[in-house]
Amino acid sequence: MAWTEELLMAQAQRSYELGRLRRTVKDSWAVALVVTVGLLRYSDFLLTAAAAAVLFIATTLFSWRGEGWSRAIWPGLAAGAFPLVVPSLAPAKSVCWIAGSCWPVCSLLCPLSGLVAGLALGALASREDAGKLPMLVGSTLVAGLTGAIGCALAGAMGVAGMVVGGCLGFVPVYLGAKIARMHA
Amino acid sequence: MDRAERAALQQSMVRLADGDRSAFSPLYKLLWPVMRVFVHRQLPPSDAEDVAQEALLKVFASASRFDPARDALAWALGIAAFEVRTARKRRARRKEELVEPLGLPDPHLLEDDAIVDRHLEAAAFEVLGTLRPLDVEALQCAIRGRPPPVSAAAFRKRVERAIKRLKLAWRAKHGVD
Repeated sequence: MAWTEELLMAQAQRSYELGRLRRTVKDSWAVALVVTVGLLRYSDFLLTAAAAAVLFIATTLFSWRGEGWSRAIWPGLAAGAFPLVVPSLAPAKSVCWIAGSCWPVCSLLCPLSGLVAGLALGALASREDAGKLPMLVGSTLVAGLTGAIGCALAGAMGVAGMVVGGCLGFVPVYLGAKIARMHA
Repeated sequence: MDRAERAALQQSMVRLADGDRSAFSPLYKLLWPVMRVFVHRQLPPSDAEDVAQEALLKVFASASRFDPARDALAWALGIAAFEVRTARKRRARRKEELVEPLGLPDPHLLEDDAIVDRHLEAAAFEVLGTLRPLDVEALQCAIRGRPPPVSAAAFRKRVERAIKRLKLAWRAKHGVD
């Protein structure tokens, strides 16, 4: 072997990156669990598969990149667990009348669980040490994708409802904390 | 390595484990000379450089698994020590493989042995020729497994005496047993 100093440094860098890539399994295994939950409930398969693929790529990339990005994965998965699980708790044929329209309860649970996820992410992001951009973007993306797999049960409308609910939960908490810090 | 360098190494390793790539270069500069000296002290120069480089690559490959609660230098040298041990085992195996062919009989040695055997046989026949015909017959019967001309007990006694006389004759001629 006996490489020159420059080559050895390049090889060491390569070893480090490959080591990090192998290490991503410790985060990305959870995607399999999320996908299993999504598929067990006979959700929209294409929507579930697309969200799962993007979620897997995102968790692998974030875990490999490290720092705030990798720290964003588990809080994101935890926040996304609400819209992943809650919509499926509604009875299959239960409906609800809102403003003269009939809505399946599971569709209504998507924005509601999104709201809870948004509140959780907003509280996390407003913490001074965790409020950095990678953490914020990473956890929001992971939570959104995890929730999308759950809300695929109600189709594209369910996913859109979850996003709206999430924004409604996140923005006031995050902005409120920012303003409070500015005045402190 | 002084205390400040060791602290810098610890800090760089923790940062690199977290994914901060800017810590790579300072860590490399601090770690490589230490690991190199450590391995060179324990292995012959022909192997040391390769083993040191292999150990360094393993340290960086495992850097993302580094536990910040541990001492970075001790951790890295632990990996280097493992590599040294592996290299020593490899080296010992190589030596065994080189020694093994020597364990096989050398054709020249075989030739020498055959000459010695021939000399011994000739000397034995020479001594045998000095014994009484009765003793020679008893020994020939015992060696070739032929039926004894007398009773078994008498034959055993005769063979014993013949061997005793053969020993005496051998000692008289060659001075050794």
